[in-house]
Amino acid sequence: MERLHELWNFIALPLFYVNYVLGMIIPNISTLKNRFISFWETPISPQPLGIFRLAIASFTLLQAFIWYPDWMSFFGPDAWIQWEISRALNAEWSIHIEYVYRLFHSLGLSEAHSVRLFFWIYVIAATGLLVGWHTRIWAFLTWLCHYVIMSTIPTFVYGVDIFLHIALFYLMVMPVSKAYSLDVWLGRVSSMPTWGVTLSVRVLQVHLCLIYVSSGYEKMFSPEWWDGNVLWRALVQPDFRQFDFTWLAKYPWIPILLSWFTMLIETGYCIGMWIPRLRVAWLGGIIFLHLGIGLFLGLWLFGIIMILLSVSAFGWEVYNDIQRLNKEPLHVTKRSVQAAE
Amino acid sequence: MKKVIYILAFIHLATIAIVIFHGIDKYVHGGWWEKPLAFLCSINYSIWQYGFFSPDVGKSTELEIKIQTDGGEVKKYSTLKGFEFYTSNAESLNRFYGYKHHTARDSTFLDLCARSVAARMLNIHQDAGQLDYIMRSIRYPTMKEYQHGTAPRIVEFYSTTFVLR
Repeated sequence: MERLHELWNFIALPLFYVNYVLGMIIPNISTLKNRFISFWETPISPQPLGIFRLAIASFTLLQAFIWYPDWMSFFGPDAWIQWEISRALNAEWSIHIEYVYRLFHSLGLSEAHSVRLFFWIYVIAATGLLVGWHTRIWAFLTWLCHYVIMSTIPTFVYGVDIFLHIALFYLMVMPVSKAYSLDVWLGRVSSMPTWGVTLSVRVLQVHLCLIYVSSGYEKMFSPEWWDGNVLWRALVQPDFRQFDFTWLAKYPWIPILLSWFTMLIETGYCIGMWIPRLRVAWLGGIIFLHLGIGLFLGLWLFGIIMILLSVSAFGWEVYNDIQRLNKEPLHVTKRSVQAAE
Repeated sequence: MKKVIYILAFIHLATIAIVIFHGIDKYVHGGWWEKPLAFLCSINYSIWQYGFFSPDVGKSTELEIKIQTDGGEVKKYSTLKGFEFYTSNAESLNRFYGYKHHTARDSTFLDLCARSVAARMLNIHQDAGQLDYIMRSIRYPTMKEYQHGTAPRIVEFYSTTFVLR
């Protein structure tokens, strides 16, 4: 009898729990569906996209002016990698700066003048994008100039260029002129929330989640990320070394903890950024991570663009979370007083 | 129109997700899909894997350039001893990490890039008659090995000489 009882518990108990969980899910499938549609369609404020445009256009200009003193060393005909070689590395659809020179040559410009004129066209396009006047045209031109840049210097491209290219593509296709732009001020564009704004913000958010998840998850497959050696080597190797960190070998728990923090903050990005209040801390963690990359590895522009992308995608929601957090203590105090009375 | 835009957006995100999680590696790196995917990647980097700063970041590369003038003087430039490719700021210098990393991939590419760099250096040093271009990989030991006195492993993997006269 006891054995039958045990057998009954062994089979029936799990079935009971399955039935209980299914009972919760099935009536909620319709709610889940509505929430999913609302997530992607309910019009939201276009301000995050305006901030995204301002941030990326400003960054483009900052990078351009930092680059200007060495512009000819990278893009001139006698650059470190000469045109004959960099052109040979390209695919058929690439637009090398030499093609830009051939266009300007018909106007009588030399190679050097063409390269400098290209720089100023890039800067003017990014400025047009920044102020948001006939935004889509300037967004396209900025992206096109950046496409030429990527085609001309493939051996010198690194993470910052890839993320800037992604961002410029999004600025070209998204309704980024709907906030903080001359287009709105002049009445050319409406600042009303639309489904297009929602879709754009969600695409940016989901893309960033995928980037961080993949970055974190790839790290997890390497034992050297778990024992801190990758981080230590990155800090001490000559290419990135900013300070002498060889002493860290005596305190391995520091690189270990920092490595685990990095993997946690990256892999958990796709969860942490969707939970109200927790995302305040998560965005803080991401900013801390990228400031660290800038300060200790010297990759300042890379750190800045990653911060700008996260702030553009989730900053508005974090700002609302902080506003709600600031209001709540007063509300609790009122309740406490009423309860006491 | 709205439906088309939503479908395109979901295809875009699905493509990113599939590529990131190595779902179509064999198409990205071979076959007739390679070119269309490479074209798409050049537009918006949706065909890109973000595994940077994964295992390989521990390697560094030294570039040494030795220039012999007509007078017999030898000038040595090494990235380990402060040679910064005449760049004006750290951001420009950072790009040479990518240069050393990308060029080290195969010897033909390395030959072309070495020639290019040599041409620039020889134009800067008008009195040079010979230029040696040497690349060495540097691999730091683990923290435990470093504590036991293991030095960084430096291995020369490329060397070439250009002679003008």
